[in-house]
Amino acid sequence: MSRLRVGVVGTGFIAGRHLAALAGFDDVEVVAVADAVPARAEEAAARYGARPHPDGTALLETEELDAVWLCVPPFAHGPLEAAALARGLPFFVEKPLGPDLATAETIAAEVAAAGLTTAVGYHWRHLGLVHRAQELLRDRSVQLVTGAWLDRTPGAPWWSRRAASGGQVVEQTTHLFDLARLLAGEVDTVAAVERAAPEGDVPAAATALLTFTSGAVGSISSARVLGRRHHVGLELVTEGLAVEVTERGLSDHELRVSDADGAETTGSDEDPVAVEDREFLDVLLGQAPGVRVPYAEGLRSHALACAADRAAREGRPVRLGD
Amino acid sequence: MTTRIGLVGAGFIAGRHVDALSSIDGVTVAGIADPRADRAEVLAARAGAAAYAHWADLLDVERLDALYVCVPPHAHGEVETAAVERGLPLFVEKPLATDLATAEALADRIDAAGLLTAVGYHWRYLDTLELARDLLAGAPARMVLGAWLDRAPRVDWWARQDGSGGQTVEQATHLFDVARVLVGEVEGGWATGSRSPDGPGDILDVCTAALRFESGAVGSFSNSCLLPRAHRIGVELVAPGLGLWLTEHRLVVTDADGERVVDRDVDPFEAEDRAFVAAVRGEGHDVRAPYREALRTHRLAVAVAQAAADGGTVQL
Repeated sequence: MSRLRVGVVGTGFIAGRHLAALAGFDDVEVVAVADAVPARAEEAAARYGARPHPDGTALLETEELDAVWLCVPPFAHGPLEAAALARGLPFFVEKPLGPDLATAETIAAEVAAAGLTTAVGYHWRHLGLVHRAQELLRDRSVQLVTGAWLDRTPGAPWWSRRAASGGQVVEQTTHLFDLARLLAGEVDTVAAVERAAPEGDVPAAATALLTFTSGAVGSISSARVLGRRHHVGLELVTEGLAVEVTERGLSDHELRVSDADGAETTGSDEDPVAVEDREFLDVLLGQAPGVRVPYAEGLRSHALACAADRAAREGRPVRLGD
Repeated sequence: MTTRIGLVGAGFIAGRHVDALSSIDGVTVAGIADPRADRAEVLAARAGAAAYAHWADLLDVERLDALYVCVPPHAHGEVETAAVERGLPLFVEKPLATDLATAEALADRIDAAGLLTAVGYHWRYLDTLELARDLLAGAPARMVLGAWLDRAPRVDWWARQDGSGGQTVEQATHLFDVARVLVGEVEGGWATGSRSPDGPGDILDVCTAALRFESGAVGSFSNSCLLPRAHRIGVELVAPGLGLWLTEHRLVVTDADGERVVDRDVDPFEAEDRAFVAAVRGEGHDVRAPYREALRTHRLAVAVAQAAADGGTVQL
């Protein structure tokens, strides 16, 4: 059996999760990895029996690949997607799609024109618990959404610079905006407030107020001043039912369902990264109909997170699509 | 000397006060008035007090040292005015009214009379709230998240806008009060609400707000009455290295040492009643929410509710 030849650009935390997942599949060969820090590229290459590259563009120009995983910091998006597009190479790209909206919109237009197979790393959508939440809410109208991403400040030097990371709302809380869209539908308008931090220009805390097209309302809050991850989750309220999904770690999630019969909590140690990677591979192999989060879909969640960030910066409500 | 107290209203919260007042030495609940005479009689019997159908009779007949006003939100106004005219110290249950104008007018009358007042924002007497305030003294809150996700109380006036002022004004007001104590005054923000087709009465059955405090902190406050029971009611605070979750019953503290749960040691109803009675007797100065102070919380709750209904800006 011939194996799919894949490359991975980036060797940070989330890239490591993808590399581990990809290495576990019999029908995949990780042939190349790239990182701007040569030692990191070499270490990952040695571990997975791949060739190291000092940058993603070099990897894309020289390797014969069936697909590439783009797991780079937010500010590094753009040229890599363009290079993959130029070669007609399917790509899996990590969130956020960029530190701003413009970069991602340009890429989305090119992806659509090329009809390229893509997937975005909104991994919550691949959790069995989230599918269960979708089923519970399917025939009901969600009335209220409340979400919180209360965490520490990640250590990466680029993270605390808004221009580089997009800020917490765009870089982290985007997962909650994505989940809110999945479970409560599209958002019409967002208003927001934020609190500046003494270090870095990423706010210490921010809250976004959402009005959904359905008439539902919600608020999603972010804070980065804690010592460690404190509370990360989204709760949905509908008549007679509350559903909450929380994340303690990438493979540590919980679903809490409260209704007239009481409250029930279900835990999960599922690895959603392996599931999303497998789905993308199966689509490439013609064994699955489509990915859950193609680029165009990821763009809508990114646009919502960017709107929440902009509404806070500008101090006025933002209508999606404006 | 015995302190003689009258109560107007014989509903749920009046019962809590009767129980608390009965445990204080030297306090006599002299009379209880409620337009539902059967209810007044039941509670009066429990307190060993006289029952009245109309509060005016209670005020005319009994010699009182203080009056508790435990009426539904829509019934505030006349009874407080009558008490002010008699110079009677007042304990008023929240919310102060369904609207702002009634409460503003009463506050002016109360101030002009120099009357002793207290308002039933009983969370202020939680020892756990004091602990939270101490913890935040070293690390001010950057964010506050309030939630009142509950069922609709089953009293007839509650789900009507003209009866209660809505859930934000009637219940979530406690969260705004706690936030003011712990984070300070609100500068402004945004609010939005919605009403589901099958929701009770005519109130917004969900409401959520994003607020900016004068300290620079931000926060969100959400309420819903669509759930089958009390689901999540409390205030979460985020400060550098510190997470707090305060409910009416406990405080959960998360910091570098991990997580610890502190149960309350104080019954806040009893504590607020003891503080008020001591003030009436001239023996204490621990009324934490006099009328003018409570009015600031009420103003915030009304501003959020109005913004949620009108789709927009919270204006204070």
